[in-house]
Amino acid sequence: MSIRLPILALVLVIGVAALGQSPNPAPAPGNNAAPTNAAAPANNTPPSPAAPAKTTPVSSTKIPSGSKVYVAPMGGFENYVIAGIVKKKVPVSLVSTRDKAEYEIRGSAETEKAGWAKMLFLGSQNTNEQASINVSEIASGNVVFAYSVNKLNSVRGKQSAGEAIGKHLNEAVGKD
Amino acid sequence: MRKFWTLALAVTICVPAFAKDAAKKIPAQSKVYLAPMGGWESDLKTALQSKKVPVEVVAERDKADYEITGTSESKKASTAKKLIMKDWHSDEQASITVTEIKSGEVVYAYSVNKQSSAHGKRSTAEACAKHLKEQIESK
Repeated sequence: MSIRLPILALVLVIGVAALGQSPNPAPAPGNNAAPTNAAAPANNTPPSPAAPAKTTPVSSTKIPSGSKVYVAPMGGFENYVIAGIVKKKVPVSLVSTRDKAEYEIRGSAETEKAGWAKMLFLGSQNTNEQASINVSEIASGNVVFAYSVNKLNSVRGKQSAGEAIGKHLNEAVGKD
Repeated sequence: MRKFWTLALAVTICVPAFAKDAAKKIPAQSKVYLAPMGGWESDLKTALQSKKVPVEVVAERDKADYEITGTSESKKASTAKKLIMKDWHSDEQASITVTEIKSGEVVYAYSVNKQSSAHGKRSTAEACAKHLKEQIESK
């Protein structure tokens, strides 16, 4: 009797603690890319029924194969993105005008040249490249895909970043 | 009912396959307009001629079937590179996009990066021309 009572109390404490955490459910493993949705349950108020309908999780929508995609100007980097998409055989149709497109790719790219210290100590003259894009559905304005890449000592410069974007965009395009 | 579903399945499979097969190709002897690319279009024009790319370069966009747009960047060898790496050559990168003017569809794109380019911008232009020629002549 003296042993059973503390065990019962322990189980009770654990149970109450678990119940206390249950109103804040853990996010689904596939929804890591949707920070806007993750912020809503943090308030302990129950979410209104209209709230989930307003936002679409970024990772939930797939770009249909054969969609018409427009790549917006990114200071010259758009050409590398287009080349990357073509090289990685992404099953989309690229168009030159926004009016004819269903999806739009926007983004930016930065290049950091190798300094003298890098050349002297590392013997490397490769640049550091970073780029980021987001794909949005023009009709609804929803962002359906986003990706960023950072390449240290990029052997092929912007070409590498463009091809990385093409490769990962390939995974976001639904194949029939 | 079963026939309908079979037909629907066949259409679903065949339509994307046709769509992929119908990927636009640049026919030989097409009229191509080179959009301004900060002077690099001259190098590209020379390269198209030297690599004997089977296209006709026109000066006016209205007369062309295709338009080549792109960008080119050149990075001269810094003093550090000259002193430490003993390399005087520049690093070049360029990218081109070929668009069918009528439909606005991108039919070809290529990017090139040449470190310590022996002939500067000429090298990247010739690389683009070489690969464009391969695309035109491929079946």
